[in-house]
Amino acid sequence: MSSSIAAQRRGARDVATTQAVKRLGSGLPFLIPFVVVAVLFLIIPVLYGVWLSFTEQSLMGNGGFVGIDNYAEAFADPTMWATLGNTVMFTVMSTVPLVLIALVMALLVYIGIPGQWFWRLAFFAPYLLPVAVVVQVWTWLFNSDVGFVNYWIQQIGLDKVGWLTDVDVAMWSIVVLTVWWTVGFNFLLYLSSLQAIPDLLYEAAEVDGAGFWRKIWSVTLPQLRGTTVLVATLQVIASLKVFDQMFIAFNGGSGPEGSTRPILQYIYDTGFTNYRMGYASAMSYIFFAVIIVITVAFQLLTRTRKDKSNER
Amino acid sequence: MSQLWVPGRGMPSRRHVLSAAMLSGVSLAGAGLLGGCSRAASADVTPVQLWHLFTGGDGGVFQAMMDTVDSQNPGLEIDPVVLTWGGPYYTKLAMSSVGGRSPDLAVMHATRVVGYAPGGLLDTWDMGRLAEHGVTPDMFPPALWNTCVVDGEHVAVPLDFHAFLMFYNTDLCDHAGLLDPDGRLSGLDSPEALIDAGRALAKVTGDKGISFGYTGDGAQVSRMWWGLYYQTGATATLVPGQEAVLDRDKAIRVTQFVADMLDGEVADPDMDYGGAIASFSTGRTGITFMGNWELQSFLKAGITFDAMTMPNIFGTPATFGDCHVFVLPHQDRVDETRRDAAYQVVAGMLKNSLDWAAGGHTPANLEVTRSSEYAELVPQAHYANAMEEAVFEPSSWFTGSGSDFQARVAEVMQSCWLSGSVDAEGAVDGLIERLNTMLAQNPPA
Repeated sequence: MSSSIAAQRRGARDVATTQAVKRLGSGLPFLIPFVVVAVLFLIIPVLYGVWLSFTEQSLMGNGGFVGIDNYAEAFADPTMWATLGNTVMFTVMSTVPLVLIALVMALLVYIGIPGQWFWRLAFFAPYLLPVAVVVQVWTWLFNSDVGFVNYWIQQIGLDKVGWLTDVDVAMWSIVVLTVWWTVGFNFLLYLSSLQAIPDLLYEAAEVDGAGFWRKIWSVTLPQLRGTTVLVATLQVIASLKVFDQMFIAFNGGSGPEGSTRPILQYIYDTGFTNYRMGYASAMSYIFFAVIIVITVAFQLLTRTRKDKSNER
Repeated sequence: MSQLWVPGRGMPSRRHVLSAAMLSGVSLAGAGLLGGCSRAASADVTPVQLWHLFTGGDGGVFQAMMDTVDSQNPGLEIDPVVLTWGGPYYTKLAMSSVGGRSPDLAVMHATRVVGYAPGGLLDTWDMGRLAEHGVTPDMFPPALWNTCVVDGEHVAVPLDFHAFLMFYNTDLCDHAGLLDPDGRLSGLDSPEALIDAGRALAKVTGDKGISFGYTGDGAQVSRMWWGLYYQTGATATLVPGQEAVLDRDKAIRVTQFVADMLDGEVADPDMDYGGAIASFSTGRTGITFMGNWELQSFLKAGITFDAMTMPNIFGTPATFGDCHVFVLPHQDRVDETRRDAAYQVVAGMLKNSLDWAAGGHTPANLEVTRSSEYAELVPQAHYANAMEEAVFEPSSWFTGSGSDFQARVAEVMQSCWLSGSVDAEGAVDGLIERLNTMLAQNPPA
């Protein structure tokens, strides 16, 4: 008796397994294109890159295995450290405004300034532009001699600023154009999570006598914490990958005194302009490690805060 | 619920949409292939694919020359591919040559040939075959021809020489009392004289006297620096695996002179390439240092101006420049008919290079530059001597137009000229250090 129940159960399990296999079988064809693309264009290149980083590979041929020489050279290369510094600087300088301004913009739209459709469009539209267009427009605006920005600065009686030519200002200019260009995406993320906050919470707060600022501080911002972590993390990763803006704004050069060249451009220059693929690969993997470290550290930091707030 | 519209009914299913999309994709691709059949494939003409880097004013002139050569040679058709100049152009060219399926013909800078030829990226020109098409070495100034020979092999044929010039506004210079009786700017025979001229011009313009656009632009820095360095009579030798041989004292003099000029009074230290063109075009400065290819920009600006080679302020006449050359990118399987057509194209372009002078360049073909038609071109004829004074960036695998090394040089020079964070000595030491770093690396080959 018990054995027949066991047999039945086994039978049922077999059927379930067969069904699962069948499901998997019918799903596999949909998986194959992704797997093929991932293997061909992601996994193989990543592994090949690791191999390259241990060789003296140039565009014209392979100079042979050199062990960790490329890594040793990279760690002693002041230009790599300088460009890595530029990248990190840009990340810090751009992430803060890209999160804060997006939040302020979303709040302004959410609390109902008139003409909402217009603000949504205006805030998001720049994000749709290609980077080449954005940089071209802004390099004209920033032109120290004939640019629109300096024209108005001089109209109000101030000295003109070397937006793209002054060592201390050039990076800020790139930050400004990047914020203008991409803040719309973060704005949209914030707006949608603002709209997801239950009205109940605001009603309860109102009953308790909370004013506008108290509600923002005690209801809105805590409710947005998850979004903020997401936006900030995405932003840190995106900013670390910066390349296009500088490359186009300075015609592939390195900005005044090299002050704006990000590490990705140095890697590109090394690999594709000087044809030293092996060395460029080694620097890529060093940078890869840096991104992992920064992202993990950032995650840990935000998680700790969350845990603390749960204890309260 | 009304039966007026049932979701899904009468609508094409997903499968239908997908197959339709695939079918139309296939047919579009087919149409594209058919559309790709040009005159060359259908009739009895040989196509020559030519990659070049001329855009803007240059590009129009180059296209017109190709059209002329096309019409003069009914048996061939040039199929041009235009790419933006600089690092990316050379990357693409190198990659196509490594793959062995490169264009039949390409334009590049003479200073980049050194980095290309030893790696096997370029096929050599057959002198006999060139002569059959009427192209012989005596047609060219020896200095240009020699830059096209690497390890005894002829890997390039020069099209022109392009120089880093001094453009000057004749009205403003006249007001400043700088013109000689012929109406030409002269007397700039020392660093002090050039700076004094700039100061006199600044008084006339009420702004700055001279503009030099170089911030964030390695090519401009290199043009100015190496040109003046060779004016001191010094030499530079770069041999991989050895230290760079450079005259440090003279290099410091040159660096200091440019810093003195960019004092905010004579010239703005904070100016980029576009700014220099704008300020000269609008008469806010009376002198600008710029490549001859910007001639058309200034002509369009409607100012009265002339041009000359870099004034000899350090004692030895020298004008920095480079040379556009024709090369045969390496092909694994050479189609001899197409290769012969490539020789024909080069011969045709050289013969028609008087047109090329309109773009500001000095044609390499001496028959053209010695002709009376060329002598009538002003200001082109006024800087024809650039050919004799030609100096190039010191040759090595990592130097040359559009190289990453130019950006390296710019970083250290700008630290002296722009922010003053290092002095002239520090900048030169930084340059030597960068040269030594590059020389210590294995040349890619």
